[in-house]
Amino acid sequence: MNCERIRELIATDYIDGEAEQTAISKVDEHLKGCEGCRKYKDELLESAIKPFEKAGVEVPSEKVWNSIEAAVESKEQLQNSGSIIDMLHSLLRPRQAAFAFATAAVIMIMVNIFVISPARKQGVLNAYLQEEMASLYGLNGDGSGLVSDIENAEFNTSIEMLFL
Amino acid sequence: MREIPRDILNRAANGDINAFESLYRDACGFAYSVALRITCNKEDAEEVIQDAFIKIYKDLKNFEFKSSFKTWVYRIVANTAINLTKKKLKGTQGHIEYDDGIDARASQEASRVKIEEHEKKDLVSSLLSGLNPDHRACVVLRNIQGLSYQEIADTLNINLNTVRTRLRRAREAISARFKEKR
Repeated sequence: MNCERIRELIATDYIDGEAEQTAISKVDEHLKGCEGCRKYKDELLESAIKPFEKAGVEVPSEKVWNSIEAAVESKEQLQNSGSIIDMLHSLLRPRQAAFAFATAAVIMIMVNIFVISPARKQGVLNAYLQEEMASLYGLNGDGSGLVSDIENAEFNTSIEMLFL
Repeated sequence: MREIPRDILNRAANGDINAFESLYRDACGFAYSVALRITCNKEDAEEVIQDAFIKIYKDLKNFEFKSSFKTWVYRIVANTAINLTKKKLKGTQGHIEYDDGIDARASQEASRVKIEEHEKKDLVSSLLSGLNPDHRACVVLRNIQGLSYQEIADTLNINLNTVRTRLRRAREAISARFKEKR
């Protein structure tokens, strides 16, 4: 094994105890005869391993938990206020029910005034116009009875006789 | 961190704030250490812990126990810390600040121990601050938290060879920095 591969193992698996026994044996054998790699290993242990051995556990300040607790509790309140049960409860409250009913009634009245009634009137008007059109043109289904020649027309109603 | 009983996890997942607090108290020590070593800044580390545990609270219902709870926490904390550090490195230079107020009234021995601890902490933070966040995370999880290579790979969602590469590069960089400080 060359020095490059040995140093790869020293810097990782060998130092961390993750290497298999065959690899450990090869590294140990190489180190016996290579001063450069021995120096590399010693420096790495002193600088990159030992200083961290007793680094210790740090603890956050209590305000961190206070912030987490506040965030979690406000999230819970938000979820609860949006629940279906709360919505039903709010509908069943008397004041709000009366308000809801009144609002619905006003909306229905407005719809009737501005949408339904005009539509009905338009329907009645259309029917009247159709009748008048039919009588004016004298339509008998086949177009007969049409008064096109005024000179040959017969005027025999009382009003017509009066004016004539 | 002790093994957290399933019923506490289930109760916390169902919104029991006391169960969640118990969970937090067990995990916050190692979680904060990871966050602090990666961000190299106390305020940032606290922000990471806050964000991470709120996310843990929201996602606890979906935790399926495919990995251990501790690995899951490591994953959330480490990734939150790495992302925050990368974001901040784009603008500002982060640095760790420790309490310099050594009590002058303490005994000589206590002072000496405290100074040694302070120097040790300062050395560790100094050695780590020269690394990029991804390399820093690997060193912290291995050298300080003692995770196996597979656990580091699972936490950071990288493969084993990437763990090895990052560790080697990080340690050689630390070694070079250590020689400069001498």
